Amino acid sequence: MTYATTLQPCFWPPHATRYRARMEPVGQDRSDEQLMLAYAAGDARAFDALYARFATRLLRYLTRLVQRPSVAEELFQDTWQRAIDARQRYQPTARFAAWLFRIAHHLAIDHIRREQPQVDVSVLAHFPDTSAAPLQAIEDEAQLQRLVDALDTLPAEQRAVVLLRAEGDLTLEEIAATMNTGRETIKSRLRYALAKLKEALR
Amino acid sequence: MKREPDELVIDALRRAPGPVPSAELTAAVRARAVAALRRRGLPTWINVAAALVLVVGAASWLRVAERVPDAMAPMATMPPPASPLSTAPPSAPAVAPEALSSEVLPAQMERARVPQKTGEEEPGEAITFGTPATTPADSSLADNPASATSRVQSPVSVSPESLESDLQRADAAVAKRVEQPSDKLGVARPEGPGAALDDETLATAAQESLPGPAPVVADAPQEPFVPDPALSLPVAKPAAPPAPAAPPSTKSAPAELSPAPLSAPAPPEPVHEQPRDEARTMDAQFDPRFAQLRTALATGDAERVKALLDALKREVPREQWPSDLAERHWPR
Repeated sequence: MTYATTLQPCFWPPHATRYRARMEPVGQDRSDEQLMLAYAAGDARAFDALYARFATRLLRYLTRLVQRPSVAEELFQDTWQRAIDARQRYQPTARFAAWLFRIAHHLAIDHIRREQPQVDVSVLAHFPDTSAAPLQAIEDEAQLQRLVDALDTLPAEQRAVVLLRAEGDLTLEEIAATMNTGRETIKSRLRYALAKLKEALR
Repeated sequence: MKREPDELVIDALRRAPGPVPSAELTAAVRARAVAALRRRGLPTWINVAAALVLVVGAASWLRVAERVPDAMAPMATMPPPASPLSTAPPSAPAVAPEALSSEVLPAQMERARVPQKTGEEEPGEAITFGTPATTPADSSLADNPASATSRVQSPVSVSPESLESDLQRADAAVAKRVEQPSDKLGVARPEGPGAALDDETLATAAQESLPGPAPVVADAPQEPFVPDPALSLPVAKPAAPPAPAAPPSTKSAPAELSPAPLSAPAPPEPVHEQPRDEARTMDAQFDPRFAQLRTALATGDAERVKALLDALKREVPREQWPSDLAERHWPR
């Protein structure tokens, strides 16, 4: 499953781009941005294609971030609703995935802050030693479950970075933009989080 | 191919079991997406039309707002009705006493005549409200000079002080005009025997010879103002010079009969009947020789009476004689 999408430069005005996107057939050859423009132009099938591409990843991201399936579903619907409402204002200046996961992340962080006002960052002081043994291929279900369980133990900020990288397939820059943080900070958080996950797999 | 440990973890997380959107959740989201497409926004032309309506309405409101303050400005600046000067109509006679004082009144009337002469000012320009206390009176005078004249003549609005000063001024003007006949005659101050007659005597004789205020009426000032007799000065006083006046250049008296030397003796002209002229009658009746004749009659100087009668009969037509002297000494 590839998450790579091409961001095409847009030299057309928004309404012309949307019209052109609407006229094109809905298929796997169209990028996420073209599908979003087609949906904004009134093509409901384009939304179905987008939903098919991002629904599972988005729900997994939200569920693992907030760690409560019911809340994750609410946030899932809210995220799509935000995307639906903002379809007229959408401009393909960035990847659709980054735009969609930014919405989801903000909703999830708001929820987490309401539920947990203070994020425990004390775990950042404990940096696990990852040089003991090389990580072998994670094949069995038990290892995957331990990995998921270890993910749940991460602080919310580190967990969000790992999930945005894994489910959203966002780059460090996109994650930094989504979380309103610097790239180096995101890189550090990602390194801490992956070290803990590796330790959990051994 | 050996993969990076970080990529192994990331890939493992992607392959880890996780929640999948349920059919209900998917149906709910798709229903929202389709419903959003159905309740699309208003067409563009409606937005453009609304914007045009707003722009046109704002422009119209601005135009009205530019005109309304100009029209409402006089009412906005109108003073409260406590001030009688500003609230009184232009033709109302109620004017403050100070506005009609002897110093202000002539100036106001002069200013009131200016618009009539020039005709340059428009009526609307003179209408001002909320100006200082003297300005409304000035503007009302400028608007309606006739009303200003009516105010001057109105007994209600004229104060006693201003009336007295006006009367004195009018009397002075009357007296100046009454002096004109003698000036025309070129009468000099009497010298010699005629100088013995004092002014009061001559004034008394002149008043007796005059039937009334005829000289004043004959050459009355043009103003419609009629002075109060109780406050007016004696009108006949300057009209009776003590010296026997020489007749006008067309008339001359004999040297022996005129006690005063004539400034410009002229040869006698033949007496001929002339139509009765009020001006000539007045001039003749003011002839000082009539006063001298009355004095001579009173004193019983028969010789002088005879000489004066002869001279007057020769030079002054009977129609121009005072009626009492004519009936008594020149019967038809």
